[in-house]
Amino acid sequence: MKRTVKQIYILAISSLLLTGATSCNDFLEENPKSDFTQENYFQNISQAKTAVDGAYERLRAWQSYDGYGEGPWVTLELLCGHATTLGQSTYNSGYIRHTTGTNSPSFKNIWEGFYEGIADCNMCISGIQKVSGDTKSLLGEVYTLRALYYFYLVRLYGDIPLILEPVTSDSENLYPERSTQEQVFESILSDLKAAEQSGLPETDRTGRVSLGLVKTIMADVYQYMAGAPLNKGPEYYKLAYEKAKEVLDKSYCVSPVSADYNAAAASSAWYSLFDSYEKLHDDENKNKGELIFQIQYKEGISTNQITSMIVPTMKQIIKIYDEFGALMPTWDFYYSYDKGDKRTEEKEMFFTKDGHRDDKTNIIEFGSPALYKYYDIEGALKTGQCDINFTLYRLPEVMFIYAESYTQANGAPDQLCYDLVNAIRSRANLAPVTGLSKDDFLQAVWKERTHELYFENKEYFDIQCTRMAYNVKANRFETYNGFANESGITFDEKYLLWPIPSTETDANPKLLPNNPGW
Amino acid sequence: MAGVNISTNSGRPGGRTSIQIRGYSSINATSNPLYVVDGIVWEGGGLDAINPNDIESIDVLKDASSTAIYGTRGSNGVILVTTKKGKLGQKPTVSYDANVSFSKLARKIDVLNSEEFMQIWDTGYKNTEKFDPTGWKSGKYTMFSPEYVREHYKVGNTYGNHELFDANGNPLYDTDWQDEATRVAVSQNHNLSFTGGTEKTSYAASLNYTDDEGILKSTYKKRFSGRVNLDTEVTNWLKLGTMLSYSDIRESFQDQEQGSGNIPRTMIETTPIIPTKWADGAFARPADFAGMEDADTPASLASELGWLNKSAVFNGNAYANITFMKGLEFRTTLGASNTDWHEFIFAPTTISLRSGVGKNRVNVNSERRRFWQWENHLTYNAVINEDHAINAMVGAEYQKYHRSRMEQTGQDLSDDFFSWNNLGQAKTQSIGSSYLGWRMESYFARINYNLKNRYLLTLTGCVDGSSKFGKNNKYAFFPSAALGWRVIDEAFMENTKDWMSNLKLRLSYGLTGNSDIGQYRSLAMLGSTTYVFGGERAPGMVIGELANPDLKWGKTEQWNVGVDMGVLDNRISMELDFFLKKTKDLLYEAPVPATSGKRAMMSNIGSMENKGIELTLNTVNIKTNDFQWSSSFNIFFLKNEITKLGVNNEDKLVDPDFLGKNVILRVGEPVGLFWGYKLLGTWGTAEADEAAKYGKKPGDLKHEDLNHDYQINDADKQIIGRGTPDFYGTFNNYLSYKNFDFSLELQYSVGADVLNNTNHSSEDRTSIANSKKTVLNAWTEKNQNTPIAQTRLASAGYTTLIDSHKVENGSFLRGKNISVGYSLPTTLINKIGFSKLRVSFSAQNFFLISSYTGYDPEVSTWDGGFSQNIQFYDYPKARSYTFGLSAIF
Repeated sequence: MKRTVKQIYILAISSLLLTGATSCNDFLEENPKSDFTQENYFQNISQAKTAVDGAYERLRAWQSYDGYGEGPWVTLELLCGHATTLGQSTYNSGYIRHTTGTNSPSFKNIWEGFYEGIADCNMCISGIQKVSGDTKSLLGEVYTLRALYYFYLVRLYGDIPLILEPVTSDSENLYPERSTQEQVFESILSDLKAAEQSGLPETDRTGRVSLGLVKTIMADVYQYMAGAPLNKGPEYYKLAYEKAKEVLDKSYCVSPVSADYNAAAASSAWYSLFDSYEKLHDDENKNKGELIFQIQYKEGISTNQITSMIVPTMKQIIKIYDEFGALMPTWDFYYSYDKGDKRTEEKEMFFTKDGHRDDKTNIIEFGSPALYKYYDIEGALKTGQCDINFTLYRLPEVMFIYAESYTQANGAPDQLCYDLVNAIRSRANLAPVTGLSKDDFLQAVWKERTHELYFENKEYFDIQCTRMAYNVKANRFETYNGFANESGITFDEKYLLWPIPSTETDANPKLLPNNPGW
Repeated sequence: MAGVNISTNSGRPGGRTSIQIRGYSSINATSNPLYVVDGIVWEGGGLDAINPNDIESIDVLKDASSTAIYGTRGSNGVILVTTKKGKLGQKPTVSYDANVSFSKLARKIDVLNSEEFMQIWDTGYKNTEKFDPTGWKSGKYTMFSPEYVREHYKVGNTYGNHELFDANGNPLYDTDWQDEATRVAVSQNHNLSFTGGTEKTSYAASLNYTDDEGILKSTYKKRFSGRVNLDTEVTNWLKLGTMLSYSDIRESFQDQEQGSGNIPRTMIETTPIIPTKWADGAFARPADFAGMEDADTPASLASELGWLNKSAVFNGNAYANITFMKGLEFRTTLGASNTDWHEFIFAPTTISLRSGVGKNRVNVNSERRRFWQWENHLTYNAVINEDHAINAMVGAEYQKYHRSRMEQTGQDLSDDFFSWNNLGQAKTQSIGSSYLGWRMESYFARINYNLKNRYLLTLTGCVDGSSKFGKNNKYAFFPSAALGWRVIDEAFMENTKDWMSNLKLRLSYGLTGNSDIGQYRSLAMLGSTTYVFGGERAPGMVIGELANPDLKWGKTEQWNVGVDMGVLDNRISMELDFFLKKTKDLLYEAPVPATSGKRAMMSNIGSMENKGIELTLNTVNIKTNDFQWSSSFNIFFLKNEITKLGVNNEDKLVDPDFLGKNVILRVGEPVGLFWGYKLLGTWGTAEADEAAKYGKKPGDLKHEDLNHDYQINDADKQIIGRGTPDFYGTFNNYLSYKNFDFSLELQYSVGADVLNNTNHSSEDRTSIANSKKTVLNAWTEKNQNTPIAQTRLASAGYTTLIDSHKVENGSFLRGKNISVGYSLPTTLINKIGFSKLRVSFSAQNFFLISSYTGYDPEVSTWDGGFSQNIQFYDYPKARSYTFGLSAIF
């Protein structure tokens, strides 16, 4: 009796062990629940939209912060030499004095951030093929973003790998070689042209890609290609101003302080100039008016340290915790503006003093000019969080592109060129310019462009493609390596390009040799 | 115990202990050993939730053969904990243990007092003209001049500033912030246990309450736990048992987010010239004085910051043991563990940590962690004609773990009153949740063959499968073999028997695996991100980690040769082991080009070797009826070397990342090497021209320029130290005289360095915060031979790098424990019903000999593989004095 009972038990137990063994195939399969895998995503339009929304996020690499008071958008300005920086940052003085190295954080953060953005775009483009429905304008958004990421990368790093498809662990493209700048620009233009035809809305006031943006970027690309290093010349200057005109024709470029200003025309145009400089950085006017494309931030969702960068070190004038003093314009730059230029008046585009954060009647002098255009008013005075958007393109730039490209292509400015430059001057309470030679007009355009778009990450690219730089003491644009700037540095060909970061050349030696001089 | 390196890396209650057995065997995955309690794997890291009074014994399994049946999870070693159980037929015994401890700060760091602080300030101001002439001319520093600050902050000033100086310009306050932040902490521990057994059933139950107060104000760890062990013989072939335990833990922290403005940092950096509170009751802040870096103080943090963790941990297992016939037994065990963990963090408007002054912020996070294990094995024991004994085992084990996490953040609550109890009052709210899980299954077989009790052979084979690896690589086979030879029992040892009492040789080889990496690495996951459109939150999907479908087990081969020897009736006994561990297919985040969109991919790349010698020497020095003295000494030598790395054996720089990656992994070198610049000293007045080429002046720091390019950048970094020791161990002595007992435990470690990153903020810069007294030795024209740069105001610019000056010798000798106890005579206590009554007094960490200038050289403030001996503002360790009482009824 006992034996049979035992035999039954032996049978039962052996089968327990065995059944365990046979169910093993599914037991070890992974079932992630918090995120999709690439295989089971892109089933419908809604998923495609969510993926496209994700592709914007890496634009924020400009505000990726390392260390104390450092960030790529700040680095790009320090390299031009018109700013001083705080004592505590280990890398910032190297950027000003042109003594930095291949593993400075900004070089790495933009390279890694933007290639990640490109990978997001590539995933969208390949994934959206699977989705049925009207996906054309979604593709248009992604093509534009990819073009924009590449446009920054090719200008900063020169010959770069051109990756247009998702990369997997066994792709050949995991270790790519450098393509030429020519090839990359070709891809940029092809993406932008596809975006132009994809049915994007004419403008967008929420932070998305729009037809107006696509045309603006194209104009910028054509103008850059016309200059160094590609030197495509007058043919491309013509493409640039024609494309710029497509935007300007739909926009209202009259100065808001002029007598013929028509508010109704301004509000129904694609873009129109703000009547006050404060609107460039307040909460109510985000993405409106003359703003064509900004990197988006919002208190409680995603904030940045832009205002902390531009206020002087620890004078306690803002309720935001950090005050770095990382990007402070030089007095020489400040004084390069004409007398009476509204932009240098207190709290227009600059400020040189402010009240203590707890007692605004206690005025504190900075000892240096500061960039009021990056002052988040609500953040500094009330909330203690900076959520100012970072502007990548605004209407004045399109106006300058027209003025400069037309003059370069045709040997002399036309009336529209003068009107555009003078509209910006008029807003700044400056007298209009007339009757200038080609070279003098170009000097005037460049000066106006530098004074209006100062510290908006434009000047470095201007130096690259014009090979001219702003000598503030002489108040003229001269050959970029022909003078020492107010920080005592003479530009060198080496610093016309950023180096490929050392972490990247370590991981992929095929990218060597690095850019000249690095 | 030789070979086991237990580091208590923090003075926080609960200790942040890290344990390594025989060194590092992994780069990316952890090197933590596996904890097994009563046969069931203990999930949830560390033994924090186990009541030490419940522990009967701890065995540490080090070599591959002994760890083999724990499968690959034992490749870092196994710590086997057996809890107390009753004995059959034992009369019920009740025991009560209690102790009370008083702890205080063991060592202080010398920082500037008020007079010295102002002396440094004044000197710094004068020197600033030299280091920032343009700024000086522009008037940037006029408001920091000694006259200006004393005028504007003196008693009766009309500028509306707080009063910090008397009429003569001397500071009014001289606050010692290390004193303000710490206290004499009183901790207590009470334990009540019942054990006993009837003819067929044995039981053990315990209740424990621990209140561990930390020496930093407002920190503590309280635990209440209970456990029941029950074993019963139902019939002569069926035995059942169960273990159930429950722990309720509550912890209060002040040292999270290392390096932030928390108490360990502010207790060093807060300037002594401000008081704790102003007359109106508001907390003083450094920002109340000109241009100082704003932060909270230990006083405001201890009072205002709330950071609590509450956990309820349930562990249980049940087993059935079936004897089919003599020698053939089957055991099945089902174990489960459930942890509910909650975190509550509230930073009110009165402090700036986490959200800024005037703003509040709350976080409520929770996790539910569940672990199941089902283990079955069949054992067969046979003795064949006395000489041959065989023990064979075959078994299977399944494990499943999942964790659900929820996060809730609120900002700008309408009133601090609500703390974390009413998240709805927050103006901005955000939520999140996540899930992860993994599974494992193992099949194993083992044969022990024992010949004449003199020759022992063990063969083990194990097939392990893990959900974490790619489709084709989920399973792997791990064999091991061991040979033991009791030489002492051999005939040729007869004539040694009068003095040699034990001689055994051991030899083992085994292959184990390592799978301790994150989940889902073999799949092409997508990730989530958040952007903003039109001021509204826009969730987005982006690429996730690069998938590696070929990801497979990391493997470690281990050889071990050991000898156990005893002489003079085991009066002197010794265990000596030589081992060699070779790990290949190391699981590791290999860097990939960022052009792919990601920076790294989990891969099997790399090999590492650990070899070492472990020696344990136990002696019974004196043994008479009344007096006994025994000692135990152990020493452990470990040499570690990376033999292969990455695709081309390229160097890899790893975290911690503080002013750059601090640790380098390089082929041919051990792990844990510090990476930074070499400090040569300071530039002298005679070297002004050379210094100018670097943009420096006499009085600035001078670093080695390896490639002579007049730039100090990453090309000049080199190996500057090592975080792992040459050898370490313990030396313990136990004495007993009649009813007194005495013990002394010493711990030593030689050869490791410590990277003292605290110096970045507390020595490299002054005026913006308080500094260490070492800055009084700053460079001056009369004092040029010094590693401290010339004093200047921080905003004038100063150099701070991870350099050799921050690397300090971390060798130490510590008095870990000294105790004296008295057991009342049994004749006396039997009369009142006790069978044992002992009182004791002991001291922990009662001395520390080390040249290290920080709190304690056994430290790590970062988590993660290679952060041992790297610190930035650590929670200081305490010296404790404990009174104990132990009673058995």
